[in-house]
Amino acid sequence: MTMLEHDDDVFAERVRAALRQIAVDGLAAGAVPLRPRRHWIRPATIAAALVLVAALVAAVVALRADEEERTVVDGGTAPVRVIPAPIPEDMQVDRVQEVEPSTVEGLPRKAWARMEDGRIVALLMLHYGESLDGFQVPGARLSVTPTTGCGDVLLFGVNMAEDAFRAAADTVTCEPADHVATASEPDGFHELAPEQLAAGQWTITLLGGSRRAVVELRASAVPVDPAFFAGAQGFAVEQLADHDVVVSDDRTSFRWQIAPDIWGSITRGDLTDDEVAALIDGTRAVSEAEWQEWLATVPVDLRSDGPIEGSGTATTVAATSVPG
Amino acid sequence: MSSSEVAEDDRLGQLYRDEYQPMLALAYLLVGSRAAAEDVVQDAFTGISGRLADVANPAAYLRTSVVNGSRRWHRRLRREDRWVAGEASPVASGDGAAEALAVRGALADLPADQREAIVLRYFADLSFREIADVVGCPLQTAATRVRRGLDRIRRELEDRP
Repeated sequence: MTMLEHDDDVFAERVRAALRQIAVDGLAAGAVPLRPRRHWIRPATIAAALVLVAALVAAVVALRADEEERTVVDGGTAPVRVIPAPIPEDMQVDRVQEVEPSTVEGLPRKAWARMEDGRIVALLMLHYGESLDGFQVPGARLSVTPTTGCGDVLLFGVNMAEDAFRAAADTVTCEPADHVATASEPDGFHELAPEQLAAGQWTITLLGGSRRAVVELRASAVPVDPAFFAGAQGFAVEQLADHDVVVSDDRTSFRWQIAPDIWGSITRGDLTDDEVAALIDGTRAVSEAEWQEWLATVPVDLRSDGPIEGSGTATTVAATSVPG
Repeated sequence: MSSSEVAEDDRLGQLYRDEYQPMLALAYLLVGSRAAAEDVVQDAFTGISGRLADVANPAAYLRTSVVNGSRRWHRRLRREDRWVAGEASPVASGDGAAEALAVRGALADLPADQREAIVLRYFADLSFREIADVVGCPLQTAATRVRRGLDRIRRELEDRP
């Protein structure tokens, strides 16, 4: 007798038994830690903070380049175009988004830098994130603390002495209703505009109808230098398809350099390691003409989809998937 | 560390030993990913640490924290209704394995509110009243979500080869 032949009560009991088996089998391999971890922080929050650090360093490179009348890092006019290849046979492009520099996700609301000889030596940032307690990331010299009265805005310090960081935290003010936070500019620091921190960004989402996979390929001019992640909690740098790839500890996200000013990241969905490696190896930067040519081959029905969440002026183009 | 802090620490440790695994299972059923479930449960325990003395029912507090944390996790993915069904955590062979696999797939296709209701009802064994309290909805809404979720699972299974 199958589950479908039972009445409601019996069916519910079978669902109950199935849920227990799913949980038991899904969690069977892991050991239970004996104690809760103290001062724990999400790897994703650390990633965001470290990417910001790298972005701010890049911004300073751009500023210095302007002074020398040559361009090293474009502050946001050149589009970032990448083509994912190969796309697994049972997946297709579901969505393509272009985000303008000022609305790139992950930029801080406020950032200040202290510089010596034209180089950043310390940073202070106010940024959205999720944190549960103050903490320090070994290796990255990163400090994070929640702000008083504005729970999802964090204060990040890089290479700041503990007393200086605490003093800065005391100056943070917040308008919770508007999520507007600010702080006094620390002595010796000067403010950097978020628009200086990133160029454009493309996101390509692959959707596999038969696998329910959701794979996001993100290309951005925001650098993700593996050195910033080395030693940080929850991250490792691996060699994958001849690239230095920053891997989160659960191997659900991968970040690597596609071209000198283009960085990619993949949220893997249910891709296998081989498929991830193939995408990392095959994704390439292309010209505008090549991009348009590739876009024309994508079997999608393009439509305007309005701004993405939290942005205000982002240009978004979305595509509906074709049933596979 | 003061004596009250030691007592609090002991209580937290005991709570952790008693409730970590059930909460991890609950979170796993809500998000479909062990790694994400661990994050959600760790958030819940960290949230309750330091305030155990003020919480009348720590297990219920944790359960609500896990449900809320699972919602936040889905929001972060911006895939509110896509459970991570593809994670490599195969159901073992044996009696009930095929049904569990089928239910796992059907659970993945449920809207998030119905998935929550089904998991809380048939895994956590909560009453409709308790479900309503945990997810913050009227009692009748909780009952409706369970009913609709169960119906959808049944239809999903009927449609599968």
